[in-house]
Amino acid sequence: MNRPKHSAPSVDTGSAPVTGARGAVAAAPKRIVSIRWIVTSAAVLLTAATALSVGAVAERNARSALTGEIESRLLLLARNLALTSSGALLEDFPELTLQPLVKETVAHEPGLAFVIVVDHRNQIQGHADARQLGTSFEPPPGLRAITPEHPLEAGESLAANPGLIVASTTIPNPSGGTIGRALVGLNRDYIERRVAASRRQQAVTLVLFVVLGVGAAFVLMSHLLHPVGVLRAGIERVGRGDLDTPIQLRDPTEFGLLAGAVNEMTGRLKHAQVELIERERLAHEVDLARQIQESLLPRGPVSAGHITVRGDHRAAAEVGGDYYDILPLPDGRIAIAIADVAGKGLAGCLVMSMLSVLLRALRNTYTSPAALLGDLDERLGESLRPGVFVTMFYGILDPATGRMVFTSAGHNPMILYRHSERCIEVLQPKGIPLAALRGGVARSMLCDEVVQLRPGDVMVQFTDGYSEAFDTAHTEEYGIERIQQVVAQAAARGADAICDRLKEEVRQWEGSGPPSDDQTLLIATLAVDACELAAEVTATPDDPASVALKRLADAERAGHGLRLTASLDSVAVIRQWLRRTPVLSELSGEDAQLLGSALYEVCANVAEHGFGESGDHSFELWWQPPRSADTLNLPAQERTRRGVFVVRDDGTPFRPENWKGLDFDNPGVRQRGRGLGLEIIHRVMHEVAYHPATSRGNITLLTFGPHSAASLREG
Amino acid sequence: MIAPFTIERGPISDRSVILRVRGELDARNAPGVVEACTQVRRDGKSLVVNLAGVSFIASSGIGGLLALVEEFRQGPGTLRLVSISPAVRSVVNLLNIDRFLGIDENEQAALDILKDGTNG
Repeated sequence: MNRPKHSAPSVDTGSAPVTGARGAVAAAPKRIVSIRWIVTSAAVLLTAATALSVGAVAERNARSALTGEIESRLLLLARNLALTSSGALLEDFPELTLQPLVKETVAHEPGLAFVIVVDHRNQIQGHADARQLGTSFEPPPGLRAITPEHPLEAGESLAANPGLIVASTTIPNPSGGTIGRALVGLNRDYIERRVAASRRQQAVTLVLFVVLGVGAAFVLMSHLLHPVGVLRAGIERVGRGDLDTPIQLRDPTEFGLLAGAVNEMTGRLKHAQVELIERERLAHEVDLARQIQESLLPRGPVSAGHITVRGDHRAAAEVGGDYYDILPLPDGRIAIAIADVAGKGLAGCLVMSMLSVLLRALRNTYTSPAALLGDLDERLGESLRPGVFVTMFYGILDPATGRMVFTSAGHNPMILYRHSERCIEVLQPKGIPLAALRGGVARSMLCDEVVQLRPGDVMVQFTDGYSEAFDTAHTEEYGIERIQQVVAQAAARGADAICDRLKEEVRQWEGSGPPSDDQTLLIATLAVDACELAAEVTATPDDPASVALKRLADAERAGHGLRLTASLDSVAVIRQWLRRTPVLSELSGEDAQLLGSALYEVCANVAEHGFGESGDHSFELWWQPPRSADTLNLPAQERTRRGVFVVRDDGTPFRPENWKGLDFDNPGVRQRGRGLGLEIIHRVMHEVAYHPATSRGNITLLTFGPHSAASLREG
Repeated sequence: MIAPFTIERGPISDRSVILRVRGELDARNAPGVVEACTQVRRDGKSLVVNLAGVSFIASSGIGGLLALVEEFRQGPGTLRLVSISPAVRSVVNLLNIDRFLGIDENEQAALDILKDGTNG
């Protein structure tokens, strides 16, 4: 490890290199200067500076005080000496008394340079050095009078030169006047020595305080900074990704608050991390779901005979629940399906996957689309939670005939472009979505309808991602009418043109960005050159069966068909079919009721007596509206009368019988309660013609009327 | 949506039972209704059949009711049909058999007739 160039005490962070969540390059370990040392050094410097400053002031004060004290002492010594010398000076040999006195004074007072007593002639009478006695006193050179701190008394003086301080006082004569002077000199070195001694003491004290201060500061900082270590360890744990262990620090200082803040931050980090992980997981799962969804969709168009089916799926930003499939069946027919699962996201995708698996498993089990969707309804109803449902269209196209048997569980209407008429037909089955209601309700409302595709016709199915696409202002949906317009305009150019044009139109309608919902299309076309499917059936007027066959062919080509399973359950859907079939849906309530009753009786008769209620067989009910354009403005009842109903079945032919009508006045008729079905049929229908065992099975032709319900009541 | 077919049976007086029929009285359900009515007759009680909730009636249903009326005529009880729905009414009118069925406007009217001991 490289040592820092500076010599300041420092500590290594000691932490492991911190690596970011994304594996960023780790920062090099950083050396830091410890707060402990900074504060301690600052304490030392501050203490020393304070002590030195205080010491300097104290020394100056001490020097001043010492000087004053010494001056006072010198003056006092001079006074005492003057008092004790006044008597001696009056004697004949004053030196005998004064010299011992001076020597004793000098001996007892350290630092004195001299103690001298001079007489009034300025001759030395008292001196520690006996050889000076009798000599004339010469004051030290350079003496200057100084001002003492205390006022001088009369005869006193105080003078100093760089080496000495000299106090002098006159020696009074008891009889008046002065008889000499007493002088006391002190070396200034004495003061300096005293000051130096004081300075040494201060220095020792300073060192002692500094040492104590450093120690105290270090200990105090160590104690105060102890939480830093705990905090650092905690933050390093967070850095390593451990967001579960909070920092355990009970500290009354700001560090305690900091630990709390770090713990709170860690909690939020953990929450954010959990959310981030969850988002990433969901994004990953959504991506997987989208891949699964796309893998379940057909790879491309499917063709059989003159029929071609293609689909298109445009995924929403969020994975959706749209589904379509094109499944060739073993007998050469093509099953087509389009569905929309309520709700988006993974749940929708899972349901869609379930739907795909179920449909592929069941496609060969049922020849009836309604039966298949009924089964799907029950299976989905067992699995899906309430509120999750599926709208679905399912049809089986027969390339040999160009006919499609289809059913719809609450899905969007089917758009049919009729090439020969250059017009659009909209078929709107009204079943309820799969799994929307339990108990087989959907099954009871599903029925197989039949539509005959003619050369050049195009069938378009779609999901609400198209019809409910909002414009950029989010105020208007694209709508089914616009889809119809696009189909009408592009149909002549084929399925690809419809698909491309519709996608482009809706993309422009919605603006940029992915759609808010999946957009799925399913388009089936019958080639324009499929002439053999358009061959007209000719009838011989003398041959009633050929007339019936032609009426059947006409109905199949241009009418509306309902395929019924040979069971009483199945025929119950006839009245619903009437309510959504062109012209018939416009009938008044009573006419619709009677027509429904009559057709029910016909079909129930076929199911019950023609097939023995064998659910394995099916038969067809067709409605051929009047083709003449001049009937368009007639009332629905009149138009219904001019149309024809055709029932075609392969069941056991009935024995044709002439209807004679029931005589209800006969109690026997009433007691039997039978034959009322035929009675209802003949009273509602103007024509009832039964053609058993034709080349296409048994054919029953029926025309409504001629009497109104009111006239029937009268009859 | 098609309402499920139900038969609600209960006493309406000491000697009378009421059947309230709802849903589609078609070929699948008619035998059940006939059987329920026959049971009341076997019990020697009068019967009021409320058809207000019948959204469709097939020939087997109307034929069964017609035969039941004839059976009840043999006694000891009486059968009254009440509150017949438009669907039933249209078939009854079509066949012109209302004069044979003993139809009352509502349950109270039928009870009044049963109290009088008359059999319309």
